[in-house]
Amino acid sequence: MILSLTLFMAVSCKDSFFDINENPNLPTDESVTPQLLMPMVLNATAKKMAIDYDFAAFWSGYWARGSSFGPSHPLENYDINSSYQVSHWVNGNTNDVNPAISWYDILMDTKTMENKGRESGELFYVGVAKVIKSIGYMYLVDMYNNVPYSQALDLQSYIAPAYDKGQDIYNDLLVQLDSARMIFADGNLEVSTVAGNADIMFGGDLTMWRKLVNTQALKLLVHQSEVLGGVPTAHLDHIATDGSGFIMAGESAEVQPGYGANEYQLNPVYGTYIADHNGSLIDDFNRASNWMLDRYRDNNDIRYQYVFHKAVAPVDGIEYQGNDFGQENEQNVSSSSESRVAGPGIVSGPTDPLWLFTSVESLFLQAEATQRGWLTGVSAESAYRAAVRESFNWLGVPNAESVADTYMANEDIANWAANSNKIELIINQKHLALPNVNNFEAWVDYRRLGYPSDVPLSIDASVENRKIPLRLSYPQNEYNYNAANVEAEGTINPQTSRIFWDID
Amino acid sequence: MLGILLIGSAYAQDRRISGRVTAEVDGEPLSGVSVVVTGTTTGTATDESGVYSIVVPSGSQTLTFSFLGYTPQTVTVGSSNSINIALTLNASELTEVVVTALGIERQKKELGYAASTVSNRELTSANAVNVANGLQGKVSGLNVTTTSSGVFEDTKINLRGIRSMTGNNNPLLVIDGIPLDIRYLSSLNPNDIDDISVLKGSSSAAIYGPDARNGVILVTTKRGSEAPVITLGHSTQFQEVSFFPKLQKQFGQGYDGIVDPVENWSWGPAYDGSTVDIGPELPDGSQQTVTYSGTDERENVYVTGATFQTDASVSVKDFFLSLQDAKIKGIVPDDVNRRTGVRLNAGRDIGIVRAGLNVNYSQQNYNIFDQLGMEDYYAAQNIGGNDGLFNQLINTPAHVPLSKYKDYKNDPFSQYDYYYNNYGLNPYFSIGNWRKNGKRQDLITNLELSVKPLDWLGFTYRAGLVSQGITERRTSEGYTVSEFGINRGKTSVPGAVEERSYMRTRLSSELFGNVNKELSEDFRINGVLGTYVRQVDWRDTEVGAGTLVVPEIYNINNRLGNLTGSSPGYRTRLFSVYASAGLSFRGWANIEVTGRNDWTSVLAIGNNSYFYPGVSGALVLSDAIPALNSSSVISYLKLRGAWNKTGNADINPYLLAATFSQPDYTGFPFGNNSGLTAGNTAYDPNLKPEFINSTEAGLDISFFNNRVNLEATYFYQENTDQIISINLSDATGYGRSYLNAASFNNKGFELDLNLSPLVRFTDGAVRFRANATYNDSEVTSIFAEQELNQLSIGGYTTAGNFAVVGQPAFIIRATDYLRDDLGRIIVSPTSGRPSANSTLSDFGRTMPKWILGLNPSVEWKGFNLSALLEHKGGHFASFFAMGNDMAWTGVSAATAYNDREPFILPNSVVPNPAIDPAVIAADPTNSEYYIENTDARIGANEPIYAHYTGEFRRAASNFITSANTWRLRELALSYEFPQAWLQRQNVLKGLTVSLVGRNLFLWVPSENEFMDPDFNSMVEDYPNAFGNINATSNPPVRNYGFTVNARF
Repeated sequence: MILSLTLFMAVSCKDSFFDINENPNLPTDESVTPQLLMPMVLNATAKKMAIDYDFAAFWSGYWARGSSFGPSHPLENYDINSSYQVSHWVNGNTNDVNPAISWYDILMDTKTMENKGRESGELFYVGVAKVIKSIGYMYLVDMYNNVPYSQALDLQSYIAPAYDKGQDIYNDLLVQLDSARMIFADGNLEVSTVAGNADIMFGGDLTMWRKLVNTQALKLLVHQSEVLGGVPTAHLDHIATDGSGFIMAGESAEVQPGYGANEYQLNPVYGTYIADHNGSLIDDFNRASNWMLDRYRDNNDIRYQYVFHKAVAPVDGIEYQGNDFGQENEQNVSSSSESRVAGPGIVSGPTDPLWLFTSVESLFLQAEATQRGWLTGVSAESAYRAAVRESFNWLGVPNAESVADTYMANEDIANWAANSNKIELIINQKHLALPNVNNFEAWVDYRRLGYPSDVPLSIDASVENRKIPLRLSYPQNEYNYNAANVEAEGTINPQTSRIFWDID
Repeated sequence: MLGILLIGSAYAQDRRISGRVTAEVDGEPLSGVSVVVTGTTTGTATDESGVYSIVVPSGSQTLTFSFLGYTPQTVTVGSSNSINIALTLNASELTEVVVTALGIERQKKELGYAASTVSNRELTSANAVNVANGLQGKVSGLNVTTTSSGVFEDTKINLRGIRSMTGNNNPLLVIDGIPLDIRYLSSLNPNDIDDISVLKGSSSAAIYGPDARNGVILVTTKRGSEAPVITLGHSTQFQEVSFFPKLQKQFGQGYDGIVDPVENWSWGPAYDGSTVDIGPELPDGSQQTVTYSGTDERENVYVTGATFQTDASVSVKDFFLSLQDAKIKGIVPDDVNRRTGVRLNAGRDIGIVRAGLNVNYSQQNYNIFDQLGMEDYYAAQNIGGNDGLFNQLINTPAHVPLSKYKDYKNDPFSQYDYYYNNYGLNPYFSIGNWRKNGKRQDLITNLELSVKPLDWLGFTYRAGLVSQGITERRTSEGYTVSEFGINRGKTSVPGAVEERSYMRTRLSSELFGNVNKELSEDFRINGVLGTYVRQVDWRDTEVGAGTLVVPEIYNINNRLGNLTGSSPGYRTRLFSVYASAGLSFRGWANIEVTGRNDWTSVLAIGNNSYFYPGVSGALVLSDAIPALNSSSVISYLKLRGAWNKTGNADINPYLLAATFSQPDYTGFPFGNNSGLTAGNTAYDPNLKPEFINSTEAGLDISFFNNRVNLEATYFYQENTDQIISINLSDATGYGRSYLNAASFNNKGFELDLNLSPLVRFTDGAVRFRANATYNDSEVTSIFAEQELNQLSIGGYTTAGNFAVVGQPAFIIRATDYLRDDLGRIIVSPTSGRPSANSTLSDFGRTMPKWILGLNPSVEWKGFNLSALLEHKGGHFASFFAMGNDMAWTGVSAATAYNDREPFILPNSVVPNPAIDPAVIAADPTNSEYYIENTDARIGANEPIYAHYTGEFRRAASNFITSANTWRLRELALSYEFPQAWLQRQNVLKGLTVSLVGRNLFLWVPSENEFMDPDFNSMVEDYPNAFGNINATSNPPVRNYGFTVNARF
C-alpha cells in the first residue's frame, strides 16, 4: 500500500511541480531590453564624473578640509594605499545611503545594453554604449594605467581577468569611437520613440551624439599630447570627415532623468554638496581652499562667487572664507564659517540637469588642440577666448562676455599676449574654469603638463617628501581576488609609478 | 476485613516513609520505579520527579525498589522517615532508549552512529531562557556561540565543524517529528521539553533529508503523565555587562596638546584632574565643565537587565498544557521583550489507531533601540566609525560624564543641538529617537495519525504547519535643529516610519510505514519506507516614509517624498522518497542500510534529482563475548561505525539567473524613466547539488558497574562540489558568484566521559562529566578549472576569511606591516613609521580546534551544586573594525603605549643608507639591505596619532589575536525540600529552589584587549565568516538569579 502510494506521488510530482524557480521578484536577462538600461547608464556616468572625484579637487588646489574635521589621511599626506579611493573599481557598500558605483559596474550595464542593442538590431544603443565605454575606461586608465580591458566583463571566460596596457586601451577606445561615429552617421539608423525617450541626454539627437563622439575622441588625443610624437592626423581626419564638429558654447551634454526633491532623486551635485531632500544642509567636509579663492580674488575674477558658496555662518562678516589644504586642527572654528564648494554657478537647485560633458571643457580642449596645430579654422587665441568666455557664461555671471573680455584684457593671468607659454595659459585658465565642474580633468592636466605650476602642496605634518600622487594604488580587492594578475603589475608606488601619457 | 485490620494497625504503628529514587549513572530522577514493602503487595511507584511516599506497616523492615534495566535494591527501614536511593544499571539489561529519526524509539545500543541525550533536568539546570544556551557545553561536538546579548539572545549552533563553506551549517531541528529551522529552538519553552537527542553525524539525513546533513537536534516535548501533575515555576535573573575592551584612561579629548571640548578624539593632553570645559558655550552663556580625569562612564550607560519568567503546566494522561510568560528587560536602556507562549499536546488511542495534535504558539512583543536607524543617520552624515551603540560608547573620551545625559529632551547639555560632541550623538538621544517595535508570532502545529494493524507493523501520517509572522515598525521621532546647531554642523533628524510584515509558512506532509519483527529467536528486522513533501512560502514586505510631515504621527500617509519599500516573495518545494532496513542478531549485532532520493525546485530540471545511500552497524561486544559479559571491570562495550553520502542544494530559490533591479540609491525610477542595473552577483544556471561523504567510527565503553562511561567517535567527512558564493574581481562585472567550486575535508573526534559517581559519601555524591571535541579541516581544491587556490568567504577587505588550498577552512588573511624576509618591520628612517603591505598574510584558523566542557557536580541530601566550564581554543579572531575605530579615536589601551612618548617600533629596521635605493627597490624584502632601527622614533617629528590613525589602523595584524577562551558557563545551587517537610499537607508535592549564574566569568589571553571572540556580528552577512568581531552588537553579559519550582 505504501509503495503504491509512493509511486503515485512520485509520478504526480512531475517536472511541473518543481518548475517554480522563475524569479517573481526581479527581472532576469531575458526580460530586460536596452531602453530599460540606458537611463541608468547615462545617469550613473554623469553622476560618477560629477561627484566621485573630490580627492582630485583637493590635490588640484581647489578645496580644503572644513575646520570641523581633523586631518584626513591619506588625502592630505598623499600616502596612497590600496584601501584609498577603491570605489572607482569596486562598488561602495550598497547598504550605505549613497554608495559609489564603480566604473566596472557601469561598464557592465553598458556592455549588456550594447549586446542587447545588437541582438535586437537597434544599433543606436550600440553607439551610445561605445561612447560610455570610451569614457569609463579612459577614467580607469587615467587613474590606474594598466587595467583589465580585453578580458574584463566576461565572467564565463575569465574569472580572474588579466590587465591590458593603458596605451593599448586608449588606442582601442579611439577605434570604439570610430564605430560609434559610423553608427550615428549612418543615414539609415532608426532611433525609435522609445529609444529617444530613454536617451535622457540628447533625446535621440544623433548630431549631438556625433559631437560628443568627436569631443571625447579629441579628449583622448589631448590626454596623450606628450606621447603622441606628432599630430594625430588619422584620428583628426575621422573627426573632420564626420563634419558635426565638437560640443560648442551652450551645447553641454546634460542628463535630465527627472531630478526632483525626493530622496535619492536630487541633482547629484546638489544632493552631495548642498542639501538633502529634507532641505537640511549637508557636507561640512569640503570647503574652498584659500589659494583658489585668492587666485580668483587677486585677479578681479568674480567667478569665486559662482564656483563657491557664501559661508552659512560667516565670522566677522567674511562671507567667502577658505582653508589651507592639510592645515592642522583649529579650535573653535567650524566649517559653517567657511565657503561651501558648489556655488550658485555650479548648481542652482535640486532639479537642475547634470552635465556629462560641458561646453567649457570642450572649448578648452579645442583651444589646446588649436594651439598645438591639430585644429585649424580659428586662431588659437580666438579658441582660447571663446573658452574663457564660455566659462563665465556657463557659471551664469551676468554680462558674462564683457566681464570675461575685461578680465582677459586686464589681468596678466588671463591675457593672451602677456603669456609666452600659451599651453600653460590655456591650462591655467582651464583649471580656473573647472572647480567642481571636472575636478578629475584638473588632476589629469597637472600630471600631464605640470600646470598650474604653483598648485600648493598639502601642509600636513606627515606629508614628508611626498608630492601630488601620480596615480592610485590598485584596490585591495584585486590583491585579494585577482592576486596573480595584479601582482604581475609589480610594486605600485603612487609617488613614482606613472600613467603612460605622463612622461615626466 | 483485612483492609480494616491494616487501617487499624496504621492508626497504631504505621509509618510513612518517603524519598526519591535516582539513577546512579547520572543522578537523574527515575519515575515509575516500583517501591514495594518487601514480601507484601503494598506498593507504589515513583512520580515524575522520582519521588515516592509509602505507608509501611509496623513490623515490616525493608522496602524493595525495582525498575526495568536496573538492579533491584532492598533497603532496611531505619529510624528515618526518608529514604533516598540510587539504582544502578543492570549492565546485561542495558536498554537505554534514544528517540531517533521519525520519532521512533530505538535502543541506543543498536545505533551505528553517535547520539547524545540531554534531559530536561540537565537543560534547565541553570534556567537558560533560551534552549540553545541550555545546551551549551553539554554535548561533545556541539559548538554553541552566543552572538549578541540583546533581548533575543541570538545563538549559532554548529555540530562537528562545518560541511558547507558558505552555506548553511545549522543542524536540523525536529520538534515532535516535524523538521524545522534551528531558529525555532529559541521560541520553545525549555520547561516543555521532555528531552533532546543530538544525532551528530549525517546518518539521519537519509530519513530527514538534506537538512539533516549537519546533524539533528531532536526535541520531544512532554506528553502528559499517568498521575495528574501541576507545576508552577518562577525565575528571576539579572544580566550585567561582563566584559569590556581595554580602554586607556590616561589621555583626554583633543589633539596636539590641546583639550578640545567638542572633539571626539582622545588625543589630547594627559589627565591632570583640572577643571575643563566640555562642549560649546551655549547661546545662554552657560558652559559645561568637568574634572579632567578618566572615568568608567562608558560602561555605565548599559543598565542591569532582568528576566522575569513564570511557567505553569498541567499534565494528565495524554494531555499536557503549559503556559509561559517571560518579561525581558535588556541591558540597553528601554529595551524590552515579552514572550508569552502556550503549548498543548494531546493524543488519544482508539483501538489500533492513535491520533494526536501538538500545538505551540508563542508571541514576542518587543520594543527596542533600532540600531539600524542610527547607523543610517551616521551613514547619511558621512561620519564613519560610529556604527553601533557599543562602538559609540567605547569611542568616547574617558572624562565625559555620559550617564548624565539621560534627559536628552530637557537638560540643555544633553540636547541634540548642545551635546558636547560636534560629530557624535548623545547615546540616550539615539536610544530614544530610533525605536523598533514589533510582534513576532510563531505557530508550530503537527497532526499525527497512526495505525498499528499488527504488533510489528505500523503506519504514520504527519501533517505539519509551521508559520512565523513578524509585524514590525521602525520609527524615528525626529529633531529639528536650531540655528546654533546648524552652525555646529548638525542637521535635522527627520521623523520617519517603516512598516514591515513578514510571513513564512511551511507545510509538510509525510507518510511512512515501519516494520519491527522478530523473525526467529536470533534475528529481528526493522524497516521504514516513506515519502515526504513540503512547500515553503515567504514574503517580506517593507514600506516606509523617510520624512514625516507632522512628527510622531507614524502613518506612511503623513509623509513628504516617495514611499520606499519592496515586497519580494519566495516559494520552494521538496519531495523525497526514503527507506531504511535493519537487521539485528540477538540484539548485539546490528546493521542498517538507508537510501533517499530528493527532488528540489531550487535547481534546474535535470540537476534537481539526487540519491544518497548510507550504511551503519553496531556490535555490543559485552553481550557477544561471554568473558566480557561476566567481567567485573568492563560492564559494557560497543563498537559502531557508519558511512553515508548526503546530497543537498541548500540555497534560496532563484539563484540560477542574474537579476536586474532599480536600487533606491540610484534614484530610479524617475517618474516614467526606469533605469535597471545588473545585480552584483553572478549565477550559474547549471548548479548541481553538493555532496558529503561521511564516515564515522566509535566506541562506547563502561567500567565498574557503569560508574565510568566513555563514548568516543572519530569522524571524517569529504565535502565535494560545494556551492559557494565567492568574491570576484570587480573587473568581471560582478562582485560575487555562486558556483560549484570547492572541496574540503573535515575530521576530528569527540569524547564524552561520565564519572557517576566519582565519589560517594553519606547522603551524597560527587559526579563529573566531561566532553571534548577536536576538529580539523583542510581545503583540498578551489575552482580547479581556473586554477584558483584561494577564495574569499567574507569579512573585511583588509581582514577577512579565506579558503586556501592546503589550509583549514577557514583562515584569516589580513594586512600586516611591510616586513623584510626575516620578519622585521621596515620603517621610514625619517619618521620611524612602518607601512602596510597590500598583499595579505595568513593569521590562522577561525574555527576552534578544541572544545572542552567540564561539568562537576556535588549533591548532598537535597542540595545540588553544579558547574559548567567551557574551553574553546586553537583558533584566531579578528577585531579589525573595532580596533581600527578605537585607534582612530585614541581610546584603546594600545594607543597609550609608552605614555604616547616617541618610541622606536620594536623589531624594526631601516634601509641601509650605504645601499643604493634603486637596488633596494628591486628586491624590497631582502634583509641584507636593512639595518636595525636605532633612532627613527615614531612621533619624534610629528604628532604620534599620525601613526595610530594611519598605518596602525591599516595593518589589521594589530587587531588579530588568539580566540582562546575559558568560561564559567554555569554555576547552579539547588535545594529540593525534603518530602518530610511536605508531608504535613497534601497540596504541594515538591518544591525546589535554586540560585543560578550563567556566563559568570570569561578568561581570554592578555593579548585580546578587544572582545569576546564568540560575539560574531558579521555572521548574518557572511554565514561562515567566523571570527570577525566588530562593535555593532552589545558586549557580553553575565546572568544570575534564582528559580523556584513547585509541583502539585
